[in-house]
Amino acid sequence: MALLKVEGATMDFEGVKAVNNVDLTVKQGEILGIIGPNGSGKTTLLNLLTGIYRPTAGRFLFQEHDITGWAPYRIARIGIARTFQNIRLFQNMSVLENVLLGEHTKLRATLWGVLFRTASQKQDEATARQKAKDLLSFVDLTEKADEFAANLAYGEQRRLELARALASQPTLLLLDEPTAGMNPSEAGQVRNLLHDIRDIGVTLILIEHNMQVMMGTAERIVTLVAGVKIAEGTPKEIQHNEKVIQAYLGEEE
Amino acid sequence: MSSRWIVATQPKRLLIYGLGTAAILAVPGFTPNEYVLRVIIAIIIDIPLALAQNLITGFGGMLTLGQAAFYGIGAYTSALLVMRLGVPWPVAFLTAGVVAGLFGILLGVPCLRVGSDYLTLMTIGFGAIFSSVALNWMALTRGPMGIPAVPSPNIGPILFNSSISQYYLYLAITVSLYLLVHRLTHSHIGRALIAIREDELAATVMGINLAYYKIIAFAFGYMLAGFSGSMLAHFLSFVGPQTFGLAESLFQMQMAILGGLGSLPGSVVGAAILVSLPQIFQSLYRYRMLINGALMVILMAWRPEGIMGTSAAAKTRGRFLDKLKLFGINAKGEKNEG
Repeated sequence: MALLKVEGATMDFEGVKAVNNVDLTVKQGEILGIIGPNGSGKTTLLNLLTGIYRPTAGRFLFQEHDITGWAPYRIARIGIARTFQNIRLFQNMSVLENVLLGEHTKLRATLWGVLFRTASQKQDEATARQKAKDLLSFVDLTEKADEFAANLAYGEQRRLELARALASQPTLLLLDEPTAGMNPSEAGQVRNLLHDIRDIGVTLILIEHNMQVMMGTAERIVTLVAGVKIAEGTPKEIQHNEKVIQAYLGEEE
Repeated sequence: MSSRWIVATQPKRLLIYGLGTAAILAVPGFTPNEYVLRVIIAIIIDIPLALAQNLITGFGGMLTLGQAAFYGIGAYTSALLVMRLGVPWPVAFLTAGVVAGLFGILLGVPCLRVGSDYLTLMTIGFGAIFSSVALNWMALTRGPMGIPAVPSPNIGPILFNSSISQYYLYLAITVSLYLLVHRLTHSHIGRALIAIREDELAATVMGINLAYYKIIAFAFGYMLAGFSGSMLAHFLSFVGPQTFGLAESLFQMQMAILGGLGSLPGSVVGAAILVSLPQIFQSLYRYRMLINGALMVILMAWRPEGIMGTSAAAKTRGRFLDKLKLFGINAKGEKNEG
């Protein structure tokens, strides 16, 4: 069953087609990888999916909803979460608060409830804190809960971003290079996390340059070159696809 | 922090709170004269202003410089309702806050459409519009003559016409407002505002509706300013347009910054220092803007996060302070003329 359907997505930046007529189907529960050389439109595609950019053309269907052109906060509410290539944590907030922010869409407290500290608001906040703590233990950051996010080591920041994205209990999670800049052992840790996340039932779209992580994680891989989808298949198929090899290694002599 | 630790300190905390409350309640008994008590009431009136600016700038990250207008809207609304329409004071007081808050929403909506620098200019513009309306709409505001003989607050038969009674009334109001701001900032709403200040894009991807939260900050903050305005009107028994200019907006920003943006106790400290300093050093009164300016420069150089601010947050706030310096120079010139 298709969770997400992208039809003819196109993003035209004043003549430069960063994403050009891309079709994509994501099935419930799978890990879909997106690879491609730098500047091939992978991140732009995520930005279209999360409403940060408004597509020049194309349609985005998520669980039967046409989410084309929706504001990012609405797309977040419907169950699509993401991380960023260049980590965007709330630096001057604590690690725990960052995760609480991720739970924002799940809180039902009203302005009234907050001002008069109603029982349901207190209950809501307590539940949220407990869930945030659970998530921190899931990504192995329990000890750092009260630190400022800015003070975390690089790998820890990436894991925190993952926890924050998971906090919204997304149906679909978009990960933009979750192991970028990590050493092999840190990357391995993240790879295990990705499998755990999939096992919870979250569908994943993964952008990754680390081929070891990509080939060992993704079930299906889409290859973009200059904004155009040139190949789609299992990791094995992609590894042997002529066009993909050409795109990465250049023309054969 | 384990729960055991909290339990262990609880009696000590209670003692501190108890002593603090007793001290605050006993203040009128220890003031040497009426004048000192009136200075303290002025501080109490200004605390919600510092809190409001703090909510909007310290938490929401929006550099606004038009808050005096909402202070003025509250003052005029309250005074006119009581004097022209014979509305009971409690109703006039509440209406003053609501009307100021509604104007806050009115200003907030177009402000959402512009970037931060233009937002600052728009709020200054709103302040200027208010000033000229207050000065020129003779039928309503009596223009430069202002509205004299505003009656003291009363709740039914209880008349708050002495400084001591006003002290307790205004103390109760300001403590309640402080509690509301505390609850607001320590909830998911406060977190959302801080997140917006930190990184708008990341915040919106977390499902935060930026417009909604910015409007809440405007509405709530300017409602507080309106309450302060009402308190001022019935305390001074006079409302005049000169009180609510750009210099006053800057003064309110100074209180929030001196105390520490993002720190609510800081706003109380900021208001206490900036309201009382010129009174304590009366002989230096002519130089008060010079001293205030120097204080700001020293603060920015050595403690940009403010007296009670947290140092980790200073970095983000640095850019507001930079901008503020630019505005500060002009405004000081203006206040000296007035």
